[in-house]
Amino acid sequence: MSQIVDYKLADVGEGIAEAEVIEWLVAVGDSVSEDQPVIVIETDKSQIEIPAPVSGKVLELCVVAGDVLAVGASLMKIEASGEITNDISSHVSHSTPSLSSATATEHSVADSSPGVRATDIRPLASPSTRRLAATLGVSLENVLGSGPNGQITADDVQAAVTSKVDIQSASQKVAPTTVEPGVTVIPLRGLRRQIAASMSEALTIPHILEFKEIDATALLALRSDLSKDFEALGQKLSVTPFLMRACVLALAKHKTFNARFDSQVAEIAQFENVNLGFATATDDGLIVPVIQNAQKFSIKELSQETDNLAALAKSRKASVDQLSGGTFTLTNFGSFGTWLGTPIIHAPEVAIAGFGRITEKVLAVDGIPTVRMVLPIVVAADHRVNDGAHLGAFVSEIADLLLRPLSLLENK
Amino acid sequence: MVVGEMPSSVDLLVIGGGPGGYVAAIAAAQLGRSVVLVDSNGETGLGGVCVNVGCIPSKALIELAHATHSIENWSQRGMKISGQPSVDMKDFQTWKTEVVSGLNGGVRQLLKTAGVEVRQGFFRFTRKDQGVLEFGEAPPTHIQFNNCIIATGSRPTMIAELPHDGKRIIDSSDVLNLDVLPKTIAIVGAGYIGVELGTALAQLGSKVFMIEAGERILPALPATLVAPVARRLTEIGVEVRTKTTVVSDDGRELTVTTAGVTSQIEVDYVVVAIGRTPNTDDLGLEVLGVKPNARGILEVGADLLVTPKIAAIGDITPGPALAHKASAEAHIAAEVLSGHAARFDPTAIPAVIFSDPEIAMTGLTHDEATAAGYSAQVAMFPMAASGRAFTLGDKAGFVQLVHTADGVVLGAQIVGPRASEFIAEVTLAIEMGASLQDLADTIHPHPSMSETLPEAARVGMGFPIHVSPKRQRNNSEGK
Repeated sequence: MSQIVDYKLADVGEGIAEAEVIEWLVAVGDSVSEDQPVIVIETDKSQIEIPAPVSGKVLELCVVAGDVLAVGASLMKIEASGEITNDISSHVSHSTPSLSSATATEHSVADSSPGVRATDIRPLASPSTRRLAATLGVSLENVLGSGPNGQITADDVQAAVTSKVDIQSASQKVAPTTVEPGVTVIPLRGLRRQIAASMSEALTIPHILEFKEIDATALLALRSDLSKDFEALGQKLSVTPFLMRACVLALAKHKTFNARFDSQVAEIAQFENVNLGFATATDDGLIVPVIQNAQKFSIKELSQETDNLAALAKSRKASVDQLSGGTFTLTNFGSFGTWLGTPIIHAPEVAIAGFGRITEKVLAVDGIPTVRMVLPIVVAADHRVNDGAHLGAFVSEIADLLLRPLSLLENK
Repeated sequence: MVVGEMPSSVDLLVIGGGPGGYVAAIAAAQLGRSVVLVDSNGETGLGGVCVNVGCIPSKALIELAHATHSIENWSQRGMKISGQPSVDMKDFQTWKTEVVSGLNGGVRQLLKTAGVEVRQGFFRFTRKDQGVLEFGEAPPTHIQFNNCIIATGSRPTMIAELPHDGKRIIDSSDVLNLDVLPKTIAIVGAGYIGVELGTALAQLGSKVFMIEAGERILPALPATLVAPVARRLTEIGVEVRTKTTVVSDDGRELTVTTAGVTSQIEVDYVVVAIGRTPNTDDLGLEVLGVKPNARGILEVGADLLVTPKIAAIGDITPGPALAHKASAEAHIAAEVLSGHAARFDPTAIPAVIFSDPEIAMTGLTHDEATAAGYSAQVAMFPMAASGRAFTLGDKAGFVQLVHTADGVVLGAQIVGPRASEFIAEVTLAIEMGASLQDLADTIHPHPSMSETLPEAARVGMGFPIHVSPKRQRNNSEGK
């Protein structure tokens, strides 16, 4: 006798509480084979194809494009054609980011979130509320009930709609629409929506900022020296790997900045390893790939890994692992010609370093006005975790390392 | 194109006039659709198996049987009638026909008022949006539709050993048309239909043999629910043979085998009531690219669609083959095909068995709730502690509520008099997410059988009034 598999969205990666449905690759009635990709979801800035858990026939698609799903939400029902032996939650290959040497126990919200275990427990909701949810295209699995025993009310469903943009065209391809001459309305979807959500979340972080300008003459000279080796290999060496290395070494001394803050349980997790995120502009929007264990990388390796991850991010092919687990982030807005900016912390991290454009400036060198290449540095920190004095010391450490760039080549 | 094949255009076509089809037709008409309903029995088929040869006539027979049988009980409680009570099946058939034709005529009138056109014939798909309606010698007519709802229902499942002849070897529908009470009758299959018919016939005075291949009667139900019914069947003289299968029938004796031992049962009639087969075989579904599963069921999802333009409802879709489930799906199908984002997504579907005592269920059993991942508990209240059950002279059975540790009601199983009349309250409670406290704090009329619900709720909360808390704790469903 055939078995019907209720296929649920599994925990696809650390700290990821939800994912957005991009498109179905199969339709009701289709035959699918085990591991055949059936749905594309977007989570934490990467798009993932989720494979079928079993071979069989698609009976029902429980979600439509545009739905934002919580872990544990039903994706589809499959009539299995054979024996079912494996776990039937969606399986996306990933490993937990290596935070094993964390100096403190990490608790993230996702760790305690329910729904990782697949069950048939139905959300509590009355028939009229279910009808409303169906009409509005809201999946009750994704709604938090405010009623007794967690019952979902009509108001909860309405609230879920408000937080979910453009429900009417949920199953349609997102396209700008012209509502009146000269006005184009673009539904906030996919990566843009995630950026909007995480930037709004960042608003809750009390930022403090520290600015510094340093003489980058020695840094540029070193890069110029090392570039020759790279050019021989047909590669380019930018300043970024040096900036990364400076941050990594500075973080080794100032661990309170290599951390994640969980405001829900009021705990700071500090890490020995640096999982270094770097802001990358893509056609779809900002993505932050993460170099895991960046302290183990030389300048050359950082350069190669950065190029590699940036390429993956730009083609939207980076894996969940490559986009999550960051403990500190760096943004090099100088590469866009920006003199200096005020970077926004990538929650739940507690600090972000920004580097501006290196330009010629007149500096006082031994009392004489001298034209030098000047690098503007800014670090934004979460004031709940670090104070101005801590930040000053941290930024000075970065500056010192960049002023003595040979130190960046030591202690690999 | 051949002239005879010029199709007539229909906005929404409903195939089948049963409790799925006629409700779908009216619901669609109310949504502004222009509806044509086809049924192989035409207007006389409206109401389907349910109204004409199923639920309704069988309940009429069961009521007659119950009333006749209860005279015996009530004679000990003051009722005096002269002579022996007897049953005239011809008179019963006259009354039953009035009941059936009254309801059938009612459906006919409702469809007329709704503007639904009814045509007679067997419909078969010839294209994804077209089919042919055939009836007797009349030239077939072709119908092209924008949308279609398939509501063809089911028929009694027959077995090769017992070929249906409508005289001696009959099905459940034939039983309801008998104008003579059988002296002896064998009922093959002790599912709910077999148990209902067997109980009624035994109460009316037939000698009933019940043949069941499973280990007990009503094998699909939890054992605890079945025990009071099994006891009552024995009391009224039904001979139940479980683990028994039919070998053959020679027109006089039915040969059966029980654990390798063959025996003969001499009976006037043999009723085959082993289940129902979905009517999906002669619909030309292959042109739609749709194939029923091995049991003949069309595997639809919550939108009930088999193609973007065609929905299926009722006994031909997954779930219990019950009239009220078909009617509930009918509304959803009409809405989905009319562009509404409706889903057939009930939390609980009630089911009632008109056995003696009645069995009624809704939502999850304890085992189902546990399997679904709930940390489920069971609260039981016996009918023997109900004042109303005392006055009805029938204290068999119990109410059982399945609930979470937080007291959220997940299911109910009721065995007892009039169980069918108050199971709906628990269905509503489940759909509304009500808790034991909600049930307990809702004032129920006294005396009524429904009072057993708040009592059971209080058992679950640990503070029952009419039973001892200690005695009632740690009840579980068992198997």
